[in-house]
Amino acid sequence: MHVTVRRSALGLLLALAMGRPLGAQGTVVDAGVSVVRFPDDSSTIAGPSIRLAATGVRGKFFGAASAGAVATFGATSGFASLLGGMASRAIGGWSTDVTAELSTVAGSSRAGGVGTALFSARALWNGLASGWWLRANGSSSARVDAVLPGGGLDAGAFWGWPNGRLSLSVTQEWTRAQLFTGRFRAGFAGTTPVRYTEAELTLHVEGDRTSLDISSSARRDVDAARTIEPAITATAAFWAGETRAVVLSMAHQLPDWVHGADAADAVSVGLRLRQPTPLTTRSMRLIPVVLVSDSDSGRVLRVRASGAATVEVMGDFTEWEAIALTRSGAVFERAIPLGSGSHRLVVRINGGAWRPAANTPAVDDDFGGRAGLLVVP
Amino acid sequence: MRGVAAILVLVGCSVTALSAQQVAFAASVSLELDSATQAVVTRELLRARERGIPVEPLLAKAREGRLKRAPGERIRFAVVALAARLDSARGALGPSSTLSELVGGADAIAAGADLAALRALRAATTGSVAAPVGTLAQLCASGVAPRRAVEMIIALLKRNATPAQLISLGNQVETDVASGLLPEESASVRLRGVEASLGSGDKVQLASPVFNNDGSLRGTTPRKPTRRP
Repeated sequence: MHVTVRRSALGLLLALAMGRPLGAQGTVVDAGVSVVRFPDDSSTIAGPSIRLAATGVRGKFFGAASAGAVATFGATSGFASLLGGMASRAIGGWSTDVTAELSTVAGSSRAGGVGTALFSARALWNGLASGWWLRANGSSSARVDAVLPGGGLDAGAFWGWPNGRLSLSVTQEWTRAQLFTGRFRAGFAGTTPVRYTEAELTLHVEGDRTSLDISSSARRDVDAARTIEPAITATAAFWAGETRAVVLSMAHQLPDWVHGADAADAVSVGLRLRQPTPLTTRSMRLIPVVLVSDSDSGRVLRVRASGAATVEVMGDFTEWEAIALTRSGAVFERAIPLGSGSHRLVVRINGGAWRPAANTPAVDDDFGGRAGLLVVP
Repeated sequence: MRGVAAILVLVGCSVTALSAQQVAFAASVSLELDSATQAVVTRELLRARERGIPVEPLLAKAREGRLKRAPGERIRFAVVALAARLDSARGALGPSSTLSELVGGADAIAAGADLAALRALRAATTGSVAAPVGTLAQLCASGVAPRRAVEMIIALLKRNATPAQLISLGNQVETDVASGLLPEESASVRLRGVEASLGSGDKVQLASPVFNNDGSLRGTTPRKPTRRP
């Protein structure tokens, strides 16, 4: 009897999940055309695809939600994931976080879907430009024919620079897989342990309006058809507008034993909406600090924003007209007739969004926005 | 726009001394608002003038709304709300308060401070309270409890902290909070820093008996307990 080890039908568009600028948050929509081939079923889905992803951070809590699907006549494949967690305050570069994730994948090639609950706890050391982590996870995945437990450990390190990031990780995973006979999971024949070790190298580099993500890995699984199997995913994004990018991606993905996604080879071309350019995202990550000092010619407003190309301010003292500051060494400055007392102002870096400076508490501006509260002695 | 600026310069800081007609004229010519908003802004300016409240902040707020392309209804609401805050600040800080004191007081109220807090700061010093109320606004906006913020500021005033030292406290706390520190923790640490810069002497006493146990300002009649369902 020929026994095929498989899981549910999907390896969908995980490639499209990549390609976001460093530190990006918010909601992103990917719409395009994808061709996804599932080698275990010798089946292919080609058609329109869509993916929605939202991420956010509020204080020590963080969360992400994503969903995607590709469809054609007679065949569909999709996934959804909801993730939430809490991070501790960093002390001396050390922090911890815990994460809970619920995910599901489904495809027309099999009845029912897969639901997975995954919990993980991580210790992280984060220096100024590099760091490393150690994480443990446990999971339970409900398949149509069985509930499969899992657990794993991973450790990794990362190095970041203004326009890129490189990370290297090693994962050891223990879980179970289902056994089926025939194509498209024709007959359930029980479960079997799965144990593998995987090393992964990921690289993200970005320009002002372009980004490239490459992830390559090698998995050692003694029960697989090939003991060592490679995987690679590459995504390139080219911004055609302030929040629109053309995204090209290709992937050769191995089975995701934990989440229940099939091995897949995919090619996608699409449009990414609501994603600011890497330049804008980097600007939003800069932390402007406003300083006021006295000089012979009056008061000078200074903004410290390391890495900024341009800095503008507007506030009640400029009659809410934007004025550009002049670079002077590491700061941007301008002499401004600034009287003593409370003022409201906002700062714009590299032509991005107006926002309060890091050292000016944000208050409602009464018009639906926020302004920084600056008090001058 | 140049004409607008010219008119505002003419009106300038002495707008409170202008006649009602002149106030209305200044609003109508300088702000270029729709008729409904124009009427409300003019009414608020006249009311403010009658009550001795400076009208410059109200004109500036209306101008800010117009420059930010806010709907007329929102501008009207913003001007009315600011007028109310300025009126409350004047009631708490006294009729002889300066423009910067009242603006700071209004900001503090907007940030969550109550009138008792403003009264406490006024009672704590004979000098200008522009910097103390501005610092109160900063600390409250950063998430420090108003009562705690007032006690810290008063403690520093008793140590003759300068306006710059007070304001640095507010700036530093906000910077810390933006970095993930809890407001109360940051305020305590930064207070010690300011304390150190004040030189030798007694430690700043935070348990300053400013408030009664029910939260009312000491020296005033404690609030009568209210029934709750």
